[in-house]
Amino acid sequence: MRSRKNDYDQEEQELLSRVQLPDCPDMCLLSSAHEGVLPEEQAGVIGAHLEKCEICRTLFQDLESIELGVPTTIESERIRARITRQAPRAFQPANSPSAWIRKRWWVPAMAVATAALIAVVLLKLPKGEPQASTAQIAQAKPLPEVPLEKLAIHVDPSALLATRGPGNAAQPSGSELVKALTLYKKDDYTRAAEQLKALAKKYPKDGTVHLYLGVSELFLNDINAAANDLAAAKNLNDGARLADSKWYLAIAGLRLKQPEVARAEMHELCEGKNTYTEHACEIESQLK
Amino acid sequence: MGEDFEQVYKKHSAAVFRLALRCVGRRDIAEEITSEAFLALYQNFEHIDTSQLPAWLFTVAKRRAADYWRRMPREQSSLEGMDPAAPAREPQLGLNELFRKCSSLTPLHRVCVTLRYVHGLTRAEIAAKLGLSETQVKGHLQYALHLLRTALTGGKEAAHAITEE
Repeated sequence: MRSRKNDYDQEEQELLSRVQLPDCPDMCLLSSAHEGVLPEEQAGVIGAHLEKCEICRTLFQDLESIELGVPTTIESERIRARITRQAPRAFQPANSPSAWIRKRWWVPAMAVATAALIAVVLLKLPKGEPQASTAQIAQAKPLPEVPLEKLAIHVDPSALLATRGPGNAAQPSGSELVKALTLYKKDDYTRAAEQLKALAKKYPKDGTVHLYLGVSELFLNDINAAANDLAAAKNLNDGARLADSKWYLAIAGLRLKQPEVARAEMHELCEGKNTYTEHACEIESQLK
Repeated sequence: MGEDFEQVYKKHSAAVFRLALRCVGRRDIAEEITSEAFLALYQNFEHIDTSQLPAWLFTVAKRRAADYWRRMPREQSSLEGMDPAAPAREPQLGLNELFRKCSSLTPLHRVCVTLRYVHGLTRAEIAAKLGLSETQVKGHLQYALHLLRTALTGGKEAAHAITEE
């Protein structure tokens, strides 16, 4: 198999060296022209090209029939974080106090007006040294450092044999989990991550597996993988495990220098009642 | 009782992202557009009939995408230097003819082959554009080339000889 793969690589190199690339526009211009979002002039150029280039017409039709990428978990998290940054209460339940405030639009409007008034008054005060803008301050401000502490295994691995039972299509058996979590417990994150990765592939809907895999990857400094697994864990867990997932996802966000991801998670932890609440509120305020 | 914002977001965010990606071709910009569309929805949530969704969100996303292209300088949109009147240059491989001969190629195979051998994109670039892993792209290319070769040689090579990794 290995030699076949090498053959393929060589063959591809050879093939590419013989190809003369035609002047076709980028594929995204074809689809954006089709969606009608290109300016008229550019759309005209694309249309004229499509008329005479059969290969692009085929590509265009094929692009129509395949489902172009769904957002990855980390992309979904970033989209959610962007929304939460602009509208911190967007994802709160409809019957929460924020919904009441939203209906009474004049409350935030008054708050904004008051803030504007204060800003005007402050601007009129005599100035000393020129002040840096808030954006500059935000940019210069270092991200808070949150030490990575090991997530405890709340159930002794050996007890999992009894509590988890034989397992099913959705979740691993006690014996499968014990093997991986015993390695995790011994701080052997490399082997624990290997085992957990295999379990995550076999049982993609098991939140516990994704959570401990994400934490192991954080310890191994594989932050992108950790962020993906912790985002999956967040979607799959509830209760204490959900809070754990959010906390470690926030840490991954900080390590990836994505304060918006960290802030969104810290905000949710700060709003709820869990073991992280106090610490999360403190970090959220530092991220503001 | 209508849906709340969270429910609406969960229901439609992937579709809005996909549309945005088709409109701009860049995942980071598609993320921005998706979040902007949902922020616009959040700001107007009280006045919007959720039965109009996701059409309302699609309209906002398309407007944002149009703004993106309007702001994009022409030289960065890959159209600089393209002469619409110039005759089309067929890639030397004669792919059109090959594609016609090889009916077992799927649209995804053809897209991967065209992007690699006509547009000259790397496997990583194709993976990013199509939302696939690099390994998947390599598998599709490998399999597609095998099918094309089989079509060229009149089926002398077993179709199952190369499978994805």
